[in-house]
Amino acid sequence: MHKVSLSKIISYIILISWAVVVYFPVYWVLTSSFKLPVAVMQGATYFPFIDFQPSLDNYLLLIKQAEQLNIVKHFLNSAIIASSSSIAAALLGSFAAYGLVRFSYRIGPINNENITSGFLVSRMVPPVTIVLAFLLMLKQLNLVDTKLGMILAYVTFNLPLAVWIMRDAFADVPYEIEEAARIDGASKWQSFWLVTLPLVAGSFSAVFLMCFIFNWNEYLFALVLTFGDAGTVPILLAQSSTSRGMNWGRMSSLAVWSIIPSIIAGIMLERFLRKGVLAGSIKG
Amino acid sequence: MMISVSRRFKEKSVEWSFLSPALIYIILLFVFPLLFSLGITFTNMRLLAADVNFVGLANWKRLLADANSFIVMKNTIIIAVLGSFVQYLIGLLLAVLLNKELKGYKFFRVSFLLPMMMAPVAVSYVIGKMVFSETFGPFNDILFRLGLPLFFWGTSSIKSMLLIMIIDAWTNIPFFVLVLLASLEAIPDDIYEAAEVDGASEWQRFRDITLPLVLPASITTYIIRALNAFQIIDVIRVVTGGGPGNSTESATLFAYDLGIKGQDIAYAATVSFALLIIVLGFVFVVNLIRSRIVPQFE
Repeated sequence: MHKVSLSKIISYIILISWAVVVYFPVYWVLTSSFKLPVAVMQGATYFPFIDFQPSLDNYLLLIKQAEQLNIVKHFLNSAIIASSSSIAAALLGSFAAYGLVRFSYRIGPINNENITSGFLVSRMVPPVTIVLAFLLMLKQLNLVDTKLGMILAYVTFNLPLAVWIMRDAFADVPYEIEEAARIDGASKWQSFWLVTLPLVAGSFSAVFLMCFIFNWNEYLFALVLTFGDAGTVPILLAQSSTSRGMNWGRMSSLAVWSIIPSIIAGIMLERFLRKGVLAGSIKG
Repeated sequence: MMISVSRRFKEKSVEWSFLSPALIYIILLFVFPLLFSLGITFTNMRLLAADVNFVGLANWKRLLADANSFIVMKNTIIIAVLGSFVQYLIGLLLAVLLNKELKGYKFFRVSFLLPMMMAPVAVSYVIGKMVFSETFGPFNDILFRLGLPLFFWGTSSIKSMLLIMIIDAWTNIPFFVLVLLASLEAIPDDIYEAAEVDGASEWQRFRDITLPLVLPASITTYIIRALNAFQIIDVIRVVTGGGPGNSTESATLFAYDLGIKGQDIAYAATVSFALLIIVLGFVFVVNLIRSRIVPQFE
């Protein structure tokens, strides 16, 4: 009995320590976003109202400078690019995954299994290996530094994940359900849209959210393929962090804004994960 | 006869209409750029110059003679192979503890996922530039108050590398927790109960039941995470810029600087292909180890 409670205590100590490790930086950026430059220069301060006087100045200054720093433009770009490429990837991936589950394809010696692993293997290639060629291709198409160019790039990276997860989702849908619709005269595409896709809405949403978080946070492609017009939030953050006159406080409030959308997406995603939406996809 | 052939053809083309959009997309926007990039490595292409000549293996010879390329590959391998493994160990420990479903574990479970959602660029700034700031950072402040030696990383190669790995771990341990916890929860409770009746200690149960059962998921997760870590650039570019010297420079950052800043796109492509070769080698080796220690995997 004594031993059990000791292991419990150790477990709690480890879990609480990790929670501190996780929350401390989050706490720090939140509190810092309410610190005036003076409060920062006095050294590390921890508790609002106790060792520093919180102020909304950073947020107000950020709003005032929104024009000059192109803050709205970067956030709008990120929102448009991340959501359009996620929805496009989730849809294209669902079509392909559905086909791979329901029909058998042959291209010479290549069958469904090979095509699926082909999608997966493409994830092994480091993005830097294709980003330079991508830049040259977009240049030919006059799509460098455009939202469309960025969307094209992100769909490439989202597709394999979408195919992978949606394939497991479709595999769990019994064929009989569709057959009933088919007998009633629905075409393959009709029964896909009206019967099967609604049944896997949970996985579809999870795929969309995972892609969204990836695209919202992505850095390398945005760094190479944009230089002003189509810049995303990570580009804004990286630029501001090195720009002159940028202090901790304002940078913190910018960082706080930047993580809100992906955290909201993450909280929604966690609900799907808890429901075991992805359980089949992550087996060894 | 004619009717059935055309009906069959029509049916096949409907079936292909599901797969072909994604397939064509990947061929045009993934396979083609990949081959294009390979082609570039045999030329002297520059970013803005129109004049392109075939130079054979010149870029590849230059790569093998370039001491910097070896340093950045070594840095990348340390971060990806070693860093991800340490993250796996910590992630496994946390997942095992969460799986005990102690009181309040739901709180821990949700909070542990938080770092995964945040942009690495933001995280790098907050942790690297603020928390670990040498002058105004709380980390050194707390060390100072406790009378411990301070952590000055700016001029030390090893400590800078350590800081990069700490930030990468903070962001990515949740991924291990997420997947390993799912795989632990799939283990039926009665196996543990039987072992407990047989008098197996907690450590024995972990070693003989848990570990073998989560091994396949462990290896898959480790590969996925390491593949991702091989691509590291954002943390490094924000926190150390690759320094001091090039002691924390990654392959991706090196290729970016060569190709975009230096406009030497041919050599940058060669470096990026070398990274791809290393990644493929890594996957090959891990799969070889997997086939040894997990016999049911052929």
